[in-house]
Amino acid sequence: MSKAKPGSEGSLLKPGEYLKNVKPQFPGGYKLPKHKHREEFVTLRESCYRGREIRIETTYRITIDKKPFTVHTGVSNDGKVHCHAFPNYSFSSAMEMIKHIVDNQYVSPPKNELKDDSMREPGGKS
Amino acid sequence: MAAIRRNIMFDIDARDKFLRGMVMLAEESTEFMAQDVLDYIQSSGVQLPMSGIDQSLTTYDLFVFWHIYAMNVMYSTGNAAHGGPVFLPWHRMYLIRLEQNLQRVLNDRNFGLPYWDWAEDGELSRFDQIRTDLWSADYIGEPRGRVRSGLIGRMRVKLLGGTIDNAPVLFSISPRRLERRSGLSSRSRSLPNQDDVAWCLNQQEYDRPPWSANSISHRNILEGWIDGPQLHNLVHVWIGGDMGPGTSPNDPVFFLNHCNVDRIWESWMAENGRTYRPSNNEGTPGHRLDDLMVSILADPMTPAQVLDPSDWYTYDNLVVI
Repeated sequence: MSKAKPGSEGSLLKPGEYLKNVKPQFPGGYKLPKHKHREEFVTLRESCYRGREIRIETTYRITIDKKPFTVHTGVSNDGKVHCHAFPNYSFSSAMEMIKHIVDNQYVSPPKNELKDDSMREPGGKS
Repeated sequence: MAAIRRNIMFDIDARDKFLRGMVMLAEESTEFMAQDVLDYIQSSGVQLPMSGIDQSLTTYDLFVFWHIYAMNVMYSTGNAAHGGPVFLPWHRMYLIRLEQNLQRVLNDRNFGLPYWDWAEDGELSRFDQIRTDLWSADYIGEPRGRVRSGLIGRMRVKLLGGTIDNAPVLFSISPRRLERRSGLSSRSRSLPNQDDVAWCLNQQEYDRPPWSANSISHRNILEGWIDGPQLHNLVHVWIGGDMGPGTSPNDPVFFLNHCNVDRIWESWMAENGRTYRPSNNEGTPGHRLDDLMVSILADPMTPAQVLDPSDWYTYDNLVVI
């Protein structure tokens, strides 16, 4: 186990300077997912019960107003559903989760002044 | 000399410095605009769409950004900060960096982050849980609605996690006051109590397969996924409002909650040793003992490097069951 204590005296750079000058590092071998806007999410639940191996694969494909819901969604062994938009919440069902999402959606999101390549439509229209 | 982290309800000096330091970080300008943050996200390859107004950001806003950025680095179980073994060491690193910045702006190298022992309040009636001094102008302001009083009433939310067209988005919004809905959620009428803390402290293993929200382990019960939301997660849900989305560090109570979570982990290690799993040849990448943890405002550390925090801080009191 490493004994090093990097940064015990604090960073030499202020946070804004660090963010500007240092690229993020990821764990060795980690590759960022290339997918964008996934429209289905698969959760594999596994357990061993009385010597029997149990595997339950659950796929969520959710739409709201016929548009795919693309926020990462999963289910725990106890059947509770969770999603990335509310990272500390557990819901008794996917339906209850989506109702919570709808309740907390911006009615009128702020006007977009930012240039975001990931949100542009093919052809470059923002 | 290591800082001493104290109970915010029993130490007025720690409280006053914490509140003053948070406002100083929230008012410390940086060179970063919202567009710069979006450019950073895109150049690093992380999938986090962003939308909204272009505006200048402060040091505190960048800490908010760090949290939601790490959340969007997805691992095969959980992400770079939640839903797996790295949850506790990642937040320990995050709090150490915030504490160092508070020491810097306060010009006090001995300042220690205070903690909120929410399990003590969880022993009160639900009616009384929002009527403690914590939720007053002298501490962190109103428990419900917009936070207008005290020093925290000066803070503004600029970055906010949300959804648009059913997809996740980081919004850059016109600055507004913090919002809370403490005790109003039908999912969490009451804070965790001391029996809940004992439940996680009685676990003999830090973590275990499947290294996820399904593990029966100290980490996962403390994170709050078993029969959830419980413990750490329940505190987020109980407060609600800006403590809900991935930008939850907008509310300074985030740090009081996580300092207490860290104290509970430290209490567990006092009884069970400074052990951590997964080691380097088990579990999933990103959560292992010597894996670099995602850090964008200071040098990254590994879980191994934060297992013993005594170079940085100690606690005035650990939890004894």
